Amino acid sequence: MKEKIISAVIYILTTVLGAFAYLYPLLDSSGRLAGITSRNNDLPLMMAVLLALCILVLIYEIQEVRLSTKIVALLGVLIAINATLRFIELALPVFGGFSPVFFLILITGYIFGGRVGFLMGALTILVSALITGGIGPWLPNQMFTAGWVGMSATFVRRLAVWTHQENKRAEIWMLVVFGAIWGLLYGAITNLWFWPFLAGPGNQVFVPSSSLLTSLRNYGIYYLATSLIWDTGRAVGNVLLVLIFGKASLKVLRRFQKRFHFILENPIEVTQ
Amino acid sequence: MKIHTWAWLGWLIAGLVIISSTRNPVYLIIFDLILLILQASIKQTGRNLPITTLKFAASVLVLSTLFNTVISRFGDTVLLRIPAQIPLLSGPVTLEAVIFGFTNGLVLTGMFTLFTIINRVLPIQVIVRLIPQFLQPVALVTTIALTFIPATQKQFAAIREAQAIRGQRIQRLSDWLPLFIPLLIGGLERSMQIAEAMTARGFSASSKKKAPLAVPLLSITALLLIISGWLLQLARRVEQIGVVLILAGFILLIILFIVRGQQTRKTRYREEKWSRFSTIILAAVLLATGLFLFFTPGNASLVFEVYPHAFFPPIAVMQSAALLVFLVPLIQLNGPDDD
Repeated sequence: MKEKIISAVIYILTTVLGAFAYLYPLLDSSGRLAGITSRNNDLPLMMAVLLALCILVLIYEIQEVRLSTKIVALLGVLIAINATLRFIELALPVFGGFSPVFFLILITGYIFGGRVGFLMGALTILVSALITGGIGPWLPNQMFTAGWVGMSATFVRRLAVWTHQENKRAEIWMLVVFGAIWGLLYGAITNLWFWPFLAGPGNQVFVPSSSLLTSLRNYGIYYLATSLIWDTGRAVGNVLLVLIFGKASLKVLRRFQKRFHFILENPIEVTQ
Repeated sequence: MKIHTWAWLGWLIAGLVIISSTRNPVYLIIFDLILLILQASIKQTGRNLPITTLKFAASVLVLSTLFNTVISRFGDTVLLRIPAQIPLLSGPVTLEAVIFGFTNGLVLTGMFTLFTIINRVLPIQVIVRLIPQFLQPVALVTTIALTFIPATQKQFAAIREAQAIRGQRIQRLSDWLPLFIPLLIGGLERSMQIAEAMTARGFSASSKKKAPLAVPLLSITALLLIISGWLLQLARRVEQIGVVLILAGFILLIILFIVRGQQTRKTRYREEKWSRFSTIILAAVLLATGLFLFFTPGNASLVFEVYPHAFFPPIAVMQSAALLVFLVPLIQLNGPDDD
């Protein structure tokens, strides 16, 4: 019980710190950043460092608690499948930000829990970056957000259990809504990595020393003007993938989950 | 003589410091060109020009300039006026907005090129080896994933072929279901085999001695220190105390990670050798960065504020020369390995 509480506190603190890293420039209504952003470009790098730190703490905490050989192997193989799907995404013409990788992250988090979901999200992005040469200061930001996708899927599971909708059609609809929300949210969060970087006067850009409400309004306009259509592609993609592949994939993962967590009813006694 | 991984990382960090410390477009153009020359010189299969980077640079520069031009209404030098009938965009288009957007594009291009070079010169296995020791299980997951990607691709091709023989054609998204589910089941079966093989060979992540309770408590303390330090900074009441708290949190976490990492044994098949040239590169870029940032006569030229009135950015010889040092890896970039 004590360990669970400590673990929960770490998750909450890293999430708060991660959210804080994204929102920090927006919260600075004092204008302290005004001098920084007009001359330097260090804000995205600062954010990258902070998010990398959050990921390290979170991954460290997760691996200390949960990583058995089966989970290690399962994650390795699922990430390999997801990275292969990423190749398909790169090879085929797709609409907007459509990406098949979120589907597996989402259902893995849903079946195996938030911790495994977080690792699945974060490490899928890491491995994809390794094989496509996509390592850069944007990586911690993408890893952290994709990790959140997997981690938050556990809430849908709890909702399904609470409303007694497991293994029913409503379960798929819950995941559909969840996938659609994250399709848009992923873009909205990852944009924040470079949006404050576009510092300067205007009604769609980050203006240092402006109030939180003004910053949020500016960001809203920027998002609607530049990202909404792109992210809609991702949201629609998630919806379609869950609708088409959801039921069969959940069934497969559930079957393997049972095999992963079998219990010996009559354990064999070892005599010496 | 190969350049050591840590020398490349030093080069990368120095490059990031340079890009982060100025918005003078002349320096940024010089630096981006240096990086492009370096990238073009990397031995790469068939291609001499860094096409991807050039495409990226062109799109980012155009988009960034265009974006800032149409949305920013500040600056004295009016180029044209967008009619009031066009919502959101109406108003004066200024030269200052064009330059500001172009500068943003230059910074993004520089960052992208720096990392593209690192991605090209460092093999994947070297990057994986950089995963800290305390994250050993995660490094293992990453290694398994990287190892199984070719196998998964082969399996996918085999499933696709088998389904094609049965007459299945991929026309709609739902046609992928008979391909995806066997791929998923095959992958999960393989993961069971890997897990059993790992257990049979004595590997068991869960059998490790559990970390004492002090470890997560220290993590919590460090996170609380960073958050509270940052809040103090935002409040602007006691900024120095805020900085101290943030630093204390960072240091605490680093110590924790190092101590936990030392409990994991790391072996190497072949140790990477540190060459004299690696020392030269590291020393050269550190010196160049120091000169760029702190050489007083030209130091003021780093600051460039285009608003409210555009002017030609100042240039200092020493700062420009310091940037050229980033070309030093060219000397040994495509040289023979020492093994």
